[in-house]
Amino acid sequence: MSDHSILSAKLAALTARDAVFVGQARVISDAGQPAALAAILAEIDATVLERLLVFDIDGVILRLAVSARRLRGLLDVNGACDALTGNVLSTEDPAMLQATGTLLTDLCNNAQRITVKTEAAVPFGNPAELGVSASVLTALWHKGQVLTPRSSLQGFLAAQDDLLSDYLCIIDGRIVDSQGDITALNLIWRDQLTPFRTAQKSAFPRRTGPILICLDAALGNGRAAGVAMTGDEIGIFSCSAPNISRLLAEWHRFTG
Amino acid sequence: MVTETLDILHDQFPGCQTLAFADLSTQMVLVTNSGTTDSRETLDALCAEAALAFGTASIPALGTCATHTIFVSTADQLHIYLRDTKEPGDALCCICRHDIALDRFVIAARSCLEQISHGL
Repeated sequence: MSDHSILSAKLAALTARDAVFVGQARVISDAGQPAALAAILAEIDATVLERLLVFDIDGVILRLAVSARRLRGLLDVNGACDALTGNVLSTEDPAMLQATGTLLTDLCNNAQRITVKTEAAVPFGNPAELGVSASVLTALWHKGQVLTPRSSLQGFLAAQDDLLSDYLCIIDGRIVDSQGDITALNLIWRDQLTPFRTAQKSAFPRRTGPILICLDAALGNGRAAGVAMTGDEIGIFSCSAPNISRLLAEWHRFTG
Repeated sequence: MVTETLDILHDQFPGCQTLAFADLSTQMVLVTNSGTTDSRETLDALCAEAALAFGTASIPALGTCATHTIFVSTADQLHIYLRDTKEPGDALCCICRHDIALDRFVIAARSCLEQISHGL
């Protein structure tokens, strides 16, 4: 064990109130208290920096890549890899999420003692893939909620959270998702988009397929506005003007 | 003179297909780069889309403020429209490929438009 991990363990021991340690591992669930899966999810929720969490569930060693209160994925179970390990989890892949939840639930079933050790992060997947937040996992795995599949455009908008500050997603004329301050975006949706699209179609009547329009200063103060359309789905968003080129590249990848 | 200026910009960027200097108030393309193969119909549509998207100074087409650069990305092309900041009737309409060096191109295209509009 490196000096770094010893120091981490000591710091964890100092900061954890009423924590019980077995060696350098902290007990997070004992005799089913608190519930095993809830205890694991609470550890993910408490992990802000990128870390490797090593859980010992009655002798089964589970290693999870965790960062920013999100589970990025499973590294291995008892040192073995299978179809569920090595993948960055995403709400875009509900089947993988559900299967991972089932595995954890099975491991936690009747577990008598669970301990956790926090270790330095190891390379795992693409760093840009963030994983799934503990709150979403709690809703899915602990409260039994069903993940509603996102529309493709909704997924695109949500995935650009480093580029887009506010957005609206509209499907079949109904707002299905929104983020941030949508006051100005609502104006575009309610009053401006239909006449704009009608006139644009008359200029290019043979144009079909997905389209993205970005206007560099349409919202003032260096804020750009944009409209993304594919099929019956419309996204209206704001972003910082310097982000437009990256956004266009992402859109081309998405629709290409 | 204007054609030469457009040709210089065009030749700097392999991903640039067509450049058209237009008057938005009359929605007319005034001059293009010399090598363009786009039809008059396409150029007119390009100019019409630019005029539509920019709107007027008091009534923007989309949003709440006047804008000076607009990007329209379709499956096979990227249209870029630049409006002069001092002469809002002057616009440069560009048809590009998606792989164009976008940030560099926009800076160069803005400079080209100013050169044409103001003789800089």
